[in-house]
Amino acid sequence: MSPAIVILSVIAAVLAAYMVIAKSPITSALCLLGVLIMTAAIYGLIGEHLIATIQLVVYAGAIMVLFVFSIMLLNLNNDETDYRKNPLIFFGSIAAGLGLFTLIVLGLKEYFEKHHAQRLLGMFNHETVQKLGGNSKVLAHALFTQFYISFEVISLALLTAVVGAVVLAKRKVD
Amino acid sequence: MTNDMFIQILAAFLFTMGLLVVLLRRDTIMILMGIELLLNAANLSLVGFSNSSHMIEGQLQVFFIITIAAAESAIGLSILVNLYRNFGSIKTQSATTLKG
Amino acid sequence: MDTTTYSVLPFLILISPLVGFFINGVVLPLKYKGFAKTDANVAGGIATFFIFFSFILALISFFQLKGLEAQVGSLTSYCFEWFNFGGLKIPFELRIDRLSGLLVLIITGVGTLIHLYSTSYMHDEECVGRYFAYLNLFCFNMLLLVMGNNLALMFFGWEGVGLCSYLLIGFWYTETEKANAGKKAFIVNRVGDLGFLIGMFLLFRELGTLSFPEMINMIQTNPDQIAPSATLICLSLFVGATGKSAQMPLYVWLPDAMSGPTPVSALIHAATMVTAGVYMIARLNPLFELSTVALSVIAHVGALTALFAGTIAIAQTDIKKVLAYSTVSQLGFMFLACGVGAYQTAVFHLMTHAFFKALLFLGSGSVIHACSGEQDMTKLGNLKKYLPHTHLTMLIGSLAISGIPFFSGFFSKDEILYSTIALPGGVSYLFVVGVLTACLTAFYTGRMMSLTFYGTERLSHDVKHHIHESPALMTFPLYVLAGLAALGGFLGVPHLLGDYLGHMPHALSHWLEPIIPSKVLPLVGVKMPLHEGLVMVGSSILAIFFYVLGVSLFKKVFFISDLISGIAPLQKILANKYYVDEFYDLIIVTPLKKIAAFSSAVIDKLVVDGAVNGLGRGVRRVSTELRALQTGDLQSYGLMMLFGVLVAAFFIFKVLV
Repeated sequence: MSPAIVILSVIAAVLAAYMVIAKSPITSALCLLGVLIMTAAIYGLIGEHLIATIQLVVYAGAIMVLFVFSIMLLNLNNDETDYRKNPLIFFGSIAAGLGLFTLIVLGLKEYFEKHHAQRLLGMFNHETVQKLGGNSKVLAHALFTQFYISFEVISLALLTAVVGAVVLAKRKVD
Repeated sequence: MTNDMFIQILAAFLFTMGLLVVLLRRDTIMILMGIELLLNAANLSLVGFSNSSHMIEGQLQVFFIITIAAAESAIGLSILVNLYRNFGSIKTQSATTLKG
Repeated sequence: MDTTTYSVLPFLILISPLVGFFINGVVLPLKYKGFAKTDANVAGGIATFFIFFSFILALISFFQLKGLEAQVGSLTSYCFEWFNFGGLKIPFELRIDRLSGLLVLIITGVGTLIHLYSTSYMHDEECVGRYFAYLNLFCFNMLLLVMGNNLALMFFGWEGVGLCSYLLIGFWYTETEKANAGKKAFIVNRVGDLGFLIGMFLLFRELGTLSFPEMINMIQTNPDQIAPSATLICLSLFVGATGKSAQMPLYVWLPDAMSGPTPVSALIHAATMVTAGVYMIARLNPLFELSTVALSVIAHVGALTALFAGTIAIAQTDIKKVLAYSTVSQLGFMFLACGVGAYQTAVFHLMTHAFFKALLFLGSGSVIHACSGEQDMTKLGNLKKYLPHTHLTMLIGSLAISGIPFFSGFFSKDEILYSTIALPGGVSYLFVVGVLTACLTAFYTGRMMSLTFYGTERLSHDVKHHIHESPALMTFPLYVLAGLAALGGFLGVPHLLGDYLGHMPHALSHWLEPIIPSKVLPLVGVKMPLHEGLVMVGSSILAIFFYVLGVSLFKKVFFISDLISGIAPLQKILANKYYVDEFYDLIIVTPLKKIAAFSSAVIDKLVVDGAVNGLGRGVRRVSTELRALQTGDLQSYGLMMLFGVLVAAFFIFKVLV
């Protein structure tokens, strides 16, 4: 448990928690941005450099910008923008969330105590990756040889998304 | 508590927070942001396991998830624009025409 | 050995009136669009034709039976397999043997005459087609009852004649009283049928079969098997007979049944339907022989009914009611004969009773028809002058019923009286009751004749204006029946007389011998000791005396109370039939009506409707509550889904793993 990861995690957790209760949407968007950056940092610290870069460029750089644009565009007034106060939904959600968290943690605990030691390891430990040319090279090689079909399909998906977004948002010409 | 486990617990927490955002906030755009947080938490978990098991398939999957998340958020925002056009506001309480 | 020949005759005899029913009841109304437009002659002609056809076939089968071996022969028709599952095997089989052949002849013969009579009697009625359809249906059911080869078929016919009786009694259903009489007949019959059903079930449980030849075979070869339950079975069956044949306490429907047309009373309530109980006992006589208790009960009930009905008859003013109570009384005689073990005699009396009672009823119908519907004897009198044919035939009939020597009633009634003291089942006080009843019979019959045909003329002016003798179509059956009533008794001449009159045999007992064995006692078959002769002479003298007394006393007065004023209160009780109907009304009908009212108001309206409607209301309430779940709000849906996921995950990982 390296201290850097701990600090980054704590900051990410606090930002995520604040995102729930923040009053204005812009504050929430900025908190989300913060979480994304912290997560990208964590990726970097454990050696997943390509993913960290992609996260920063795509997620934090493109998606969040889009969100901020939309919030600005919608010109939301600041009343009634925070969380729902209906006690049934409020406490129900919190309870459900807590329940879910507990379940997952319990499951994790059981896994790490019983099964983690006997797991099957792949071949890409740290030394091998460095020998093969680093994380990006290894990933790129796998992407363009073993998983190239998925790669092409993803391109098609992106194309569809672009077309769909344009069609949906078009103003109907009266 | 090793690194791996810590990262997983963080992923679980981020996932719960994302869920709370989806369930508790009143604007539709906040729901979309919550969905992004959920996806991000899943990514974190995948990367963590990929790292601890020394396999790279997890990271490849994260690559794809990020791509799809981008596409999905674009379309989601278009739908949001349509919602605004049809109901006049983006509050979730205003779009309850399916009320029984 | 019971040898049987398979023949199509029984089936044809059975089906012929049914075809008549279809034509009169279905085809003709379809053609003429309703019952009201059928011509009376056409309907009557069709009905009479079919029943006459059955009669011819019955005669043919009679001669065929006679030609068969001296041992028991019979004609059987196997039609189809009606029931066959789980050990219950009921084939639709018809059988004409010596006993049922005799009854088939009576039914079809007397039936033909009555159909002929009805064609003229009901000429001016509307919906005559319906009447004749019902009449043919009745004949079909009665033939089925008599010819059915197993108890289930007999029960089918039993119920069927009950139904037709209801339909015919309530023929003029637009008058409430007549419709009520029909209902009463059917309901009281059904009460008795419960006993019949119980007896049938018990028999099936003991013997495993309901077919008559098999049952009688099993009873005769192995009596110990059924002896313990025989009493219960016989008493249950007798309850059924009580209902159908109008004995105590279920006789109350018969006097009310006089609301129906007179030919119906003649056919159903004199000659055929009411004798079904006697037929059933005669058919199952090996079974009844096994239980002395049951036989004793039958004899006592029969005797009591006979006396009881006789006392009521002497105080009635309606001519048909007198005949109705007379029928109840004579049926009591028949059951008395069965109860002491003289089954052949009961059948003999059944036959002669069919003749003279049908004659009396048809004659009274002729009187009513001539007097434009007047049934009250206090308004009749001196009809001898106007209705000579009717008078002559009714005179013969009344002599027959009273037991005047050499008419048919004399022979059969005498045999019954003798058997009450001669047979081992007989008891001396039953003899006294029988003699009393015979005297009463002669007395009230004489009274009836006197009030109607002799004495002072009490006709109203309109009636006198329209009075006319009945047409030939009505008097012809009367004469035929009169001949039968006069001469029919010679079929059963006891040996005492037979020897004197040139060795005439007791033909009927010889005929019925294989089915119903004669009792081994000096009844028929051996030269008589003195006391049978005494009985014969004594009863003749009593009969003649009381008949003449009845005729002479009532030339001027109506009731006995007019002669002996002290009896007035008794007379009132008799005239009101001992208030039996009122008693039944009090203890049975009124409580039932109260229970029914309670059921409909409370149980039906509150409980049942409340439950059903309440269920509907409850469902609606629950659904209104549940509807609130569908808020249209996306996030609450998401929350509910999350809860579901949690529960499922918990279930899978904590419970199942």
